[in-house]
Amino acid sequence: MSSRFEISLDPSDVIRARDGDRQAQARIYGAFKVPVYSVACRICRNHYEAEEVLQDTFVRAFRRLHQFRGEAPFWAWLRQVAVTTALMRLRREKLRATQGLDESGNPEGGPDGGRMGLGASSSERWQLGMDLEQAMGALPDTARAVVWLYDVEGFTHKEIAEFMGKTVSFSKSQLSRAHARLRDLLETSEAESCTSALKIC
Amino acid sequence: MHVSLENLLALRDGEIAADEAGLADAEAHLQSCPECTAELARLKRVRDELRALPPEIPPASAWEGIDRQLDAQGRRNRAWWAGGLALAASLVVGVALWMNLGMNLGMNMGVNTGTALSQPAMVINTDPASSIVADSGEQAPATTVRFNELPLRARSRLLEQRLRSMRPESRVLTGHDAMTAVELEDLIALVDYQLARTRSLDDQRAKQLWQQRVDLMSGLVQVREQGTRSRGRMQNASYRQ
Repeated sequence: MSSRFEISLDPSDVIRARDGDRQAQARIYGAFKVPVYSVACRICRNHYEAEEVLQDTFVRAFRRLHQFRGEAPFWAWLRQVAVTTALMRLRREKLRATQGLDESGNPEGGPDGGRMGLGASSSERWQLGMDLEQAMGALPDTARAVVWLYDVEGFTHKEIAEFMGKTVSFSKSQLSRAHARLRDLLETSEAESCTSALKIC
Repeated sequence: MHVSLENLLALRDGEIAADEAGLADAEAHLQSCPECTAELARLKRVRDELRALPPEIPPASAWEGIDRQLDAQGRRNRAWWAGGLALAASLVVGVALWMNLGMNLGMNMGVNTGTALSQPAMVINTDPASSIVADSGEQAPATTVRFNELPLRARSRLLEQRLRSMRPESRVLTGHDAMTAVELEDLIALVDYQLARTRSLDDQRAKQLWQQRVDLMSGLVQVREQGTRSRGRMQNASYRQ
C-alpha cells in the first residue's frame, strides 16, 4: 500500500531548506501540503484545526530539518512530524474541552464528541444519510485517528501505540471498536434510507 | 461461534497475531461461515473506500502563515543567540518556578501524591543529581560523583538517558505541559544545530552551548516528571471519588 506522502523530492531541496532557503522550503511545502493537510483533516475535528496543524507541521519540520538524517525517506519523516503535531493538537483540544476524561475509548463525548457534533443529534445525522466520511467524523477522536493511521496511512499498531503513548493492545482495541461503530453507523444509515424510500413510495 | 472483529482485522491485514492458534481457527471457520466471510469482505471494502477518499486541499493562504512564522522564528533565533545564556537561564528558572507552583498547588489542595510521586521537584542548578546518577547505571554512586561536578557533556548524556528511561506514558502531558515540552525540545534542537556547527567556534562558545543544552534538558526532564506526578495525583483523586 502506498501513502499519499510517498512523493519523491530533489534531495538538494532538503539541504537548501535546512539551511533556511525559503524558496526550497516553499517547494517542499508545495509538494507535501495536500497529504499533510489531508491527514490533519482526518485526525482533527475541523478545517480550522487542520490548517493550524498544517502550518505547525511545516514550521516545526523546517526548524528541525537538521535532525533529519536521511536514514528514512524524507516523506516518512515529514509524515511523522505531521501525525505527531495533529495528535498533539487533538490531545490539547480534548484536554481543554474535557479537562482530561479517560482514554479508554468510550468517553470523548461518544459520537457527538467528533467533528460531526455540530448540533445535529445522531438520529438527525442518520436521516441525512451518513456516508463513510460522515461516519468517520462521528467516531470518537482517538478511534478516528487510529482507523486513519492504520487503515489508510499503513502504520503498525506498535507505531500508533508509540505516537499515542499507549500500548499495542490499546491501538488494536480502538481499531476494532471503531470498525464496530462504523458498521453500526453505516447500517443504521442504510436502514434509515430504506425506510425513507418506502415512505415516499 | 463467529470470528471476533479483532481477528477478522488481523486476517484482513495479514497481521501476525499474538493468538496464532486462534487465528488459524478463524481461518478455518471462514471456510464454512458466509456471515464471517461477508464481514471480512465488508472490512476490506471499508478500508479500500477510506483509502479512496478524495484528498483535502488546503487554503491558498496557508503558506503565508508559515512564511510569517518562519520569519518570526528567524527574528526570535537572532534574539535568542544575542541573549544567549540569560534567556536560557530565565526560561529554565521560569519553568522551575512554574513547576514548584504546580506542586504547591497540588499539595495545598490536599491531594495525596503517593510515596513514589511525593519527592520534591528537581531544582535546576542546585542538585538534580543523585537520582539521575543512580538511575543512569554508572558505577560511581551519587554520594561520590555529584551531577553538577560532571563535565557538561556527561550531564547532557545522563539527562538524555533519564528521558529515555521514562515510561511511555510520561509522554502524555497536559496541554500546558505539552506545549512547554515542545518549546523546550525546539530550543534544544536549536542548540544542537549550533553545536553541529561549533567546529569553528572557540571552546568557550562550545561550553556555553553545552551549558544551555544541559539547562534546557533539565527543564524538559522536569516537565516530563511533572506530567507523571500530575497523572498520579489525578488517578489518586479519581480513585477517591
